[in-house]
Amino acid sequence: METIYESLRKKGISRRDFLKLSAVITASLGLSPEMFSDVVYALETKPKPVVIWLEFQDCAGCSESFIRSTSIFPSEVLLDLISLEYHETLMAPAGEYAEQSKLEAINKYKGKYILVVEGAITPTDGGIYCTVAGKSNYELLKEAAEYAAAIIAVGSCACWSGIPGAQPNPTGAIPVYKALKEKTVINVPGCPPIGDVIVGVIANYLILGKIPELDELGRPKVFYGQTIHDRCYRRPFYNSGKFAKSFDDETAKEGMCLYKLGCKGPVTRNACSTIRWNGGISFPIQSGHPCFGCAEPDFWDRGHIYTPLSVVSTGISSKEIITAATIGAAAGVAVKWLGKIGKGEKND
Amino acid sequence: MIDIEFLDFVRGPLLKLAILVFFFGIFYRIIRILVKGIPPDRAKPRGNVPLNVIKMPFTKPVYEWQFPDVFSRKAIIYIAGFIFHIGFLGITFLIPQHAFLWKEIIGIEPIYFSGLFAHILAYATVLSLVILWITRIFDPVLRLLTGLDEHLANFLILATATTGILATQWVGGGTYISMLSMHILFADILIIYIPFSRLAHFIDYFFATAFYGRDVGRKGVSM
Amino acid sequence: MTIKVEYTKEPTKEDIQKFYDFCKEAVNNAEISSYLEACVRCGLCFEACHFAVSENISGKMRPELVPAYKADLLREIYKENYTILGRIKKALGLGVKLTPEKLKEQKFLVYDTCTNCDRCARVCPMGIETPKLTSIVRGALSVARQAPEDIVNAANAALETGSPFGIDKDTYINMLQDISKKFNVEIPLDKENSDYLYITTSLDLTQSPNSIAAAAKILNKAKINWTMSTIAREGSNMGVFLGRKDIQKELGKRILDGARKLGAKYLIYAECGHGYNFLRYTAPNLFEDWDLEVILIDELVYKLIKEGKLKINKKPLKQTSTIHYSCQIGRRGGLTKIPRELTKMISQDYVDSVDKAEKNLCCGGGGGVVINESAQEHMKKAFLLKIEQYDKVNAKQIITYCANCQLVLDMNSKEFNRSYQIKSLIDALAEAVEE
Repeated sequence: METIYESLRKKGISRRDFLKLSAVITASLGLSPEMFSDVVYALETKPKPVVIWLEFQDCAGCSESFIRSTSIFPSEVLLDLISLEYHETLMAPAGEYAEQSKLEAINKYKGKYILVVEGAITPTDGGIYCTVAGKSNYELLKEAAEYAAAIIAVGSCACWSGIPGAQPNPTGAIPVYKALKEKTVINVPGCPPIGDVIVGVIANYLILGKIPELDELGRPKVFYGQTIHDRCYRRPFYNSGKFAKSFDDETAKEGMCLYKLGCKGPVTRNACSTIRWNGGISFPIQSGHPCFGCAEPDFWDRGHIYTPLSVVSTGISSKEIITAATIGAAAGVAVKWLGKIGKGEKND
Repeated sequence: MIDIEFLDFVRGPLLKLAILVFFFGIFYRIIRILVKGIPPDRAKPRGNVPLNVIKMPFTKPVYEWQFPDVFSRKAIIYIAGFIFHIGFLGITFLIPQHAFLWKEIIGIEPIYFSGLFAHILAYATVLSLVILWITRIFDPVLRLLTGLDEHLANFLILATATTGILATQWVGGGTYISMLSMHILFADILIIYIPFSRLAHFIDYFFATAFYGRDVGRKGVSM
Repeated sequence: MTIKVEYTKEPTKEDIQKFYDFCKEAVNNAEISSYLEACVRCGLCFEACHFAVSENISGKMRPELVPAYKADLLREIYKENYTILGRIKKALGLGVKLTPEKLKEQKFLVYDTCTNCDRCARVCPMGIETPKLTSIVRGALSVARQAPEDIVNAANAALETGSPFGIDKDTYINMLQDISKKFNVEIPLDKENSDYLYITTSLDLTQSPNSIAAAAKILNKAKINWTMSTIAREGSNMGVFLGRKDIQKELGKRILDGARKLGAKYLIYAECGHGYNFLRYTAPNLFEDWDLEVILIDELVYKLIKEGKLKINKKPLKQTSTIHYSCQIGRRGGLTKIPRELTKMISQDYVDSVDKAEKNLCCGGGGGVVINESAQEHMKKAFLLKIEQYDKVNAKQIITYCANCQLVLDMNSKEFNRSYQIKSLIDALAEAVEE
């Protein structure tokens, strides 16, 4: 297996560009500048990582995002830099041969491959609601996870059961970490996650040889430690109380804060406001739409995308308030008659 | 429970319940007083009764400041109490996030301020409340008059205001989500607590000052 | 059938039950319940109460003298009968437990250390009228036979003989004849078809008969069609001190009867605080057919001066003089400007001892405190504040328009060895209108 440096040189990328790339990778992984030489050493000496990518109840959007990663590994060289042994959407073979080569790869690289899971798991009724080659998704997952060096759940469906798990959840979809209770699962949520983040997590494991620091729900702290709000470029508007009132008036054109239009940035942990999408071109808030927290659990059921964060999410109608007030008034009248009961009560 | 799920709970069903219980309680208190009947008065008044009934709720706080002998011995209560009320009314109504919530509840969006003005209001509220609470614990007269009701009210308001300040100005990331949830949780408990405790004095204030004003009008005195 | 007020040293269970029932009945209106609910425990009333502050100045701190605490037992009784949470507490057995000690404490709080002066209500940020609440507790204590013995005796004397000092009809006639002779003034008695009925008090008859003579002189000079009555002999009303509407009504009826018999439309009232307040503001609500107009003697003099029927000929107050505003006639009665104007008219060197009449300090002896043995100590301590007030403006002559204030201030002035001259306004006016 050739090293990453070797395959990059083969592609015609100069040593100089390789070092530049290493610097970008060091920064993107949130490592300190002293670690630059470690990154270079790792890329020079470590062999290409083997990745097995399973998809279950998904839309393949995470894969689409993955191959559009630009900053860490340019997309045109990406698929050459990792040895993607199995990926239903991207690989060439199909049918029995594909399944067979997957099992061979699992056996050959026992304990060394990275397992990436996309999509939710559904073990209900024997796992019949999502099967590949006649095997249930639950069985396939268990089989692939047994000898994986690291398991990465990519996308909100894999991390939190996302859209398949939204109400009424007819297939009983569960996240990967609940299906693999004894294993450490790195959660990379988002709908989809930023491509550079997915690649960054894989690269982190590759270069440092260990799982990055995870928070209590298994998300890498380097990418998911802060909220969108913490780094949002529209913060000056938020801080000075200037809010966009609708989507197409003057305040929106000025680029004012979208809190009033329902932005869930303050409670969403992701790297959208720093790394951004498509090579740092934009992210939802920059394009004028409020964040709806796609990287947080249950975002689909949470709904109420355009209700501001401080308002009752389900709304409260004046009819309900008037009903409550009327019952209160009736209680006030009732208490008057309570005073009449107990006339002649003994008081000690 | 995942922190974001807890936030959904306190921000959704619990907040709605709190608001409905609040309106239930407020109207209960108002009707409970009114239904007992206003005692009639047949004596010929010396002054203007309707004028005093209407103006007294607005001018009574001014009169209490005109007693220098009382003021000099209770200056902390006067000043800190005044600052606290202005502060907490400001942060309840005039902060953008709360203004949006009021728009949902009563249909009118108050004018809102952010930045330095909001900071000053928030810190003034917390500081004056701490000072008042300490005074209440150490002054012998206040100690006799204070019970569990007052201490619990002070605690809830202090907790709500402090978590609010911490959330918006001092923490980020996941801690912000937890702090925001605690803020909304304390606010929900406070909203439920208000109508059934001494904090409903803002309702009783209008009744008591109106009756006091009626008396002032009857007697024809100036305060 | 006259009511008789009883007194006992130790209350029985029935007494305690009567106390509770009286309180429960009396709080059942919007005004009292809003006062009871509104207290926010700010403690400002402590600094406004002359009993609380004077206790503090004299070296002791007695936090239970705070006016808010005087109404606390009533507040508890209200809560456990008229609020849902209170009812639940009562049902769980955590309700109010009344003991003889509690009743005795209440007697101390509302009879011995409260004159119903209303100063606490001026500073209360919520506008709570504590005197209305303490009056209820006074009434409850009196039906529980726990009102102070001195006040009870006075009340019984008033109910039986017509006067709290025991002056019956014949003695009354004799005393008036004596005054008429001694001061050389005509005092019409039981004159039919009089417009004005002058009503005096036992205090005036015994302590300051010169005030009656002064009033008679002025009324005769102004050629008013007036009389006094042998039925409406007594203006003071012990029922007000005891907080009992039934006693108030019984004693007040005599005034109404007297006025009716003589066809009077106006009641001229002598200088007496709570009596004026009762006749002017409470009596119309107790009697359906009350149609009499009540005017204080000084108020009438002012009117006559403005109409030109009387003239101030000299200023009898030669030293620095100020006016002491009666609590019941002043901030609780509405007569603050007129007495001040009159005093200024007859004084050669007038100073204000308080910038606003409604802020004045109570003399310390109203509301029955002066005849209450156990309240004497507190009444004396309260005078310390008055000394401070008068010495600040260097006042030497102090005009009062309530005979009780005059008695108390004079008594305490001698006790503390101060040289204040306490004069009654009507006396000074009579001197001033002399030729």
